[in-house]
Amino acid sequence: MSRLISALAALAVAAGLSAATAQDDPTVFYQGKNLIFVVPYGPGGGFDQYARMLAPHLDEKTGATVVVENRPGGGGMTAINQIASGEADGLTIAILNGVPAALGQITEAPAIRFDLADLTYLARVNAEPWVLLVSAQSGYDSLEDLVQASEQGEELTFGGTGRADGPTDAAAVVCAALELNCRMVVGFQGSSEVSLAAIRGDVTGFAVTDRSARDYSTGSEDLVPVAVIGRQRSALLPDVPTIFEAADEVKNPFWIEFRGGIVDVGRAIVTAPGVPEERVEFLRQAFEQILTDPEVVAEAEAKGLPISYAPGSEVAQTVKDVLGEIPEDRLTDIRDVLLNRYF
Amino acid sequence: MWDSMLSAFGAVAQPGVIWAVASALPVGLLFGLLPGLSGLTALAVLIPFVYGMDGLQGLAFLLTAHAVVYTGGSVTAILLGIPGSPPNAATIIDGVPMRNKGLAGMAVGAAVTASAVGGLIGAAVLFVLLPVLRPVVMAFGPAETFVLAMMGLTFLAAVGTGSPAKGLFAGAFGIFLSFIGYEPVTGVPRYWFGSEYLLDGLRIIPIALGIFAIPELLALAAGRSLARQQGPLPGKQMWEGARAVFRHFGLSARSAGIGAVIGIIPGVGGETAPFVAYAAAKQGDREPERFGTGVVEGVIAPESANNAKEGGALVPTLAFGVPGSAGMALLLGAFLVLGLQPGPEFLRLHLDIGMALVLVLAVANLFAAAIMLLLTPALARVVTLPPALLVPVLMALVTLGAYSVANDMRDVVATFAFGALGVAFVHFGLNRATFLLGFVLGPLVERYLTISLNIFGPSFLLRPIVLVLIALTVLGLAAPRLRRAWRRRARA
Repeated sequence: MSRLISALAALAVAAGLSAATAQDDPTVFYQGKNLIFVVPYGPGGGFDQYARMLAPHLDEKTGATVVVENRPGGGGMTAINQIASGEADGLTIAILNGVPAALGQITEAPAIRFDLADLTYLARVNAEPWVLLVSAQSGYDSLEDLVQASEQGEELTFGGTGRADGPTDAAAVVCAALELNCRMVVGFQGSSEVSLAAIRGDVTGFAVTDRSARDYSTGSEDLVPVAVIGRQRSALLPDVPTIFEAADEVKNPFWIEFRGGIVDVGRAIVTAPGVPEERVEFLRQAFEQILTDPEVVAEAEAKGLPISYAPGSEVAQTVKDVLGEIPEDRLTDIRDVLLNRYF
Repeated sequence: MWDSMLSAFGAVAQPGVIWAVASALPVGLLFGLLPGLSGLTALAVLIPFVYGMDGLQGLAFLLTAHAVVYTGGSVTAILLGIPGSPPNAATIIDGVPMRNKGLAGMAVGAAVTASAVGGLIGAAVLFVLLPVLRPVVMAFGPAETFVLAMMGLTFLAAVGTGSPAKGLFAGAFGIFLSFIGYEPVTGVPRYWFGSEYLLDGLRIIPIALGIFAIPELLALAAGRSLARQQGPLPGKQMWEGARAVFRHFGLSARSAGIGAVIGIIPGVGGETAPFVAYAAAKQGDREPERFGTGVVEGVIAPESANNAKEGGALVPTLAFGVPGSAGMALLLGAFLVLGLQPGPEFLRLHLDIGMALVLVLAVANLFAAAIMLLLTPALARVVTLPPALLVPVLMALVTLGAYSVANDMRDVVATFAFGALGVAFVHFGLNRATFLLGFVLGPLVERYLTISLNIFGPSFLLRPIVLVLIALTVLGLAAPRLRRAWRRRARA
């Protein structure tokens, strides 16, 4: 009898242990489960396309059933709020728009209730450099033109959709870096409406991602790309000089470095803080395999979705560097440039 | 030009494209018919299906589904008093009184035919403008958009039935509710009370659904049944209604023109077009007081404008990649998914695709009208169904429609909250369509006024097109009075 009991006890312990290790083994854990891939914007947009392109590959690599779910709202931030405060089981991931998230956090936007430094980063899918475009109607066709005009007292206007939205802050850091006489004209509904305003000549210019810049300026003479806002040229617009090459003197390079760091966060895949280490590693590996696979990259490029992979650990570090210990006076300065000075 | 047209014909006549249009037609009509599921929802749901299709096929599919939603939506608006999608709300003003008089078949026949006529005229406008899209879109900047939005607001008084003061109050309340959320230009959050849901601003579909559908359903559930079957059979009435569209062809064409023009202007958005057309019809009529009591002109005008605006909305979408309406924004996404980039290059390289889309638009509208006309006699009998059957089904649809906007349960809660508001409105005799118009126009006026002042300063009022629009507004407001004075002088 006692032998039966101890045998049963041993069996129970063994079963318990193997259940625990089964839970610990991510391959087993994800098998057949629903993995929700949240897109913080509506269907059809760039982020949606990236997610839907990656979903079948992720499905294959993890054995889970990947479901893409659109949760628009809060300028893309509501969904991230939900992720940040959600279950830490690794079954919900999201594609993050790094630029407005980081800027929003720095400027204490009301929509943001997360701390980017807390999120778990699985990979970066792409990071796009931003390009400054100038309206042909303005009469300027180079960065030096803008600098000289500004020195002569001309006011340069740049279009955007709101504050710290992408186009506006990119233009703002250029103005701060070169000490230009600038004013932002915001309120347009989307960067394509801004581009229309620039084509009309209502504003001097505007800043967009290199992809959009290429689409707006190729084959038309209404918009001229004058500089890439960063240290490196863009692969999509190889003839456009960087701001450091185009300007005679960049008085405050800090602003370009600052925004460059934020751009490096890019489109990142994130999940909740506190997800068990093994599952994070598992997902990170899956994404690494997918995003470095030349076939996948080619497939994505063909759809107009460039990939520039960075591992999750690197993104986490970038976030720490950019958002980490910013001294108070520097923070005030940043908030002034992004929200105040040019409005 | 002509070889583009020929190649467009060739492209559209492919079995793949024909199949796409044929399968999208019933889907679009269904989305329109079912309350709560709007053209936007249709597009959002259908876009993932398009990922596998090739260029024109996918575009034809989406465009068809989206363009015919308003044809289907008019039927629900008239028969049930529930707008199938927000732009159908203007049809309710005269459509529901017609139904209550027993003329539901006539109203639906007129609405559907007007939709087809409007859609065809919209496609024609697009076709004519295709070579010259640029200058047209260039002409309408923030200043012009502002004045157009103001013009829409001035029609608030005209659109309402009954006391103008009540109409203005309803509209003003709508404007006030539009303030909730981020201010469009400075980004300052207003009236959000710390709620993340309110921070984004109120969404139009829960509002439109709640305010129109819930009071109707409550009344149904409380025992009031929809119209008695009076007068000639619905089938016969229907052809009466269809004929009326051609009898009032000037009105139909004018309303379609208004719809197309408003569709062209990117900032304004589609919801205002039917209201402006309705107000213009009313103001230009010899007896404006008839409007609101159930006259067929009050159904023809908004429905014609509704479908015409889709042709107009394609103009900035194709020419610049700037969406002419919320639906076009989704369609733009589809363009990119299919590997096409609308913009200045697009029309140069793909003029034939642009023309093919015009063809698709025209054909889709025609067939949608034909299908709806065939189905109308059966659909008109819906009003005779027992409420015990109708109410639960509709309630379920409304809830589903509200949830499907953004997969957010809070939208459903909001729908019922606005339902309560709708009941109050009905009780106090406040015009709900006016309220919706105010809600839609408020942010536009604020946004474009600020942008115009920012760019031009106060002198933006002196721009040529702005002056023309201001003159039109004043004329529109004064029209009834002028007409009365002129008639008095003619008699004397």
